[in-house]
Amino acid sequence: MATVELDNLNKVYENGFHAVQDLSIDVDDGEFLVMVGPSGCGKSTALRMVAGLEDISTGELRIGGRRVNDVDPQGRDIAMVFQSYALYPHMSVADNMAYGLKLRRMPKDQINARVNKAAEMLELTHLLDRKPKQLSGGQRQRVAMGRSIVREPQVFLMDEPLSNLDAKLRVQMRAEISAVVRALNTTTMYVTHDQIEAMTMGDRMAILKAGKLQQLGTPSECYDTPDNIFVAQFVGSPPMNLVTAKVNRAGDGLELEFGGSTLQIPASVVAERPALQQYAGRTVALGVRSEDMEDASLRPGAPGSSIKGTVNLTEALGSEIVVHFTFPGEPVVTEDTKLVAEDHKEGELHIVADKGVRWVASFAPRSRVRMGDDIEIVVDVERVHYFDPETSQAIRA
Amino acid sequence: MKGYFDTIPIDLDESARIDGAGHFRVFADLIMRLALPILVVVFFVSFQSTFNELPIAQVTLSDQQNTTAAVGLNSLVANPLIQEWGLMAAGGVMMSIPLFTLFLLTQKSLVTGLTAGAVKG
Repeated sequence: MATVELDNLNKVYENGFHAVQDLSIDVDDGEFLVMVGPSGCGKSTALRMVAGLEDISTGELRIGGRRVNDVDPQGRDIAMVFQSYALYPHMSVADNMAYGLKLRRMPKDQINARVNKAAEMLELTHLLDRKPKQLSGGQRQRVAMGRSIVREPQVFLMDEPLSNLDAKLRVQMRAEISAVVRALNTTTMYVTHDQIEAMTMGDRMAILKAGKLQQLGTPSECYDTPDNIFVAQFVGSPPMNLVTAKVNRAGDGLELEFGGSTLQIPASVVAERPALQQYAGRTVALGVRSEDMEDASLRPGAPGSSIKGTVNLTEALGSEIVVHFTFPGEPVVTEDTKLVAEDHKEGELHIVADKGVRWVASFAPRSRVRMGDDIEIVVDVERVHYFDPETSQAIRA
Repeated sequence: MKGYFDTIPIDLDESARIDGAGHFRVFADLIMRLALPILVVVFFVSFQSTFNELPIAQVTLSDQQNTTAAVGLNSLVANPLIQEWGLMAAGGVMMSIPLFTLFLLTQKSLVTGLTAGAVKG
């Protein structure tokens, strides 16, 4: 068990591609840190630099306080689980798990004890004599985990270990990995492109984009107080709803105007974010989470807290109704929103709004809205997010 | 042969290095084990061509006591006056026995899919 310190790590490839830029993360002893980001954001490269499989261009990497920039992978006392598992095909499950210990010339009885203990933990005991090709995907994944566990390393590294499993198995293995890692209390760095994995597994998550760290914090911090538009859209499913809104002065306070609706900004919010004052007369990117909206017919809101829209689609999930609605307005289009849209493209339903902005809200299941209805939506104005449309940064202080 | 080596996933190499294996161990424990089929093929082909080699053996092995089987068989039909075709054909069949036995012994290693199960997809 050890801390891992990434101090201004940079990776520049020979062709000039700058894959990781000034990455600084301190991973505490026993912490589970998840690195998440869209494909090609440098998260795997960063992990491979920690593992020693990629050279570090500049910066310093310390494991347990020791500088390991120039140490071979075998000297770093780490274990890694690969996306492809990378099991030794000619060895049995037991030999696969024992290989690292044999190389360290550990006595046989001790090796057997550790392998059996790990096998028991991962329910692999009855498979110890099999070869990897006789195992199912989930079992191979567990063997790969077991191979890391028996080593009792300082740090676990996991590179998208679940992405080759089917959806149901993935949920199950997610819980299993979490449980095993927490039982061992070993420092872990986990790479994934799936923000749900990041939210559910990590003590903290590091969100990366194009080689740069966007935000580092607990999952709830990243969800509730995103630092910029990218984080707001990347974390959470569905992504945060955005619209370009004009900030106007109204009496003593401020109000937001967009798409024919007006939202009052509560005085408490302005007090918390004094910078908003400077945006009076200008536009901001306004963000609302789907759960911060409700059908006005169920819970009428105060005046100046609702917007009007037309329902395109409803998805009744039982516990909630997901309502897709449009209203005239100007969508927020930045590099970030394009990148997130690209990343979400797979497997997501896309109905192009004819005009205006398309938002997704989740209503209580009692809501009776139907496709094509014109509805009024109450917004929890205390929980609205504000971003600068040019810099994409959150407007806070 | 390089083509066969290329089918061994690089992940295995990296995984072994993290497990604590140096370059030599990776080569001996993994690469050589997984490249076995192609090594057997190379061995078999070169053994067979040496065993059946005629021209060089004919020139260099002048002593009747030391001739290889191929040279000996050839001598049965080399003289246009005494050509023992039947004897040569029988000898040819007998000569195939060592190669045949060798094939039976190595056949087990000549399998594809030795790396199956190492990496997914």
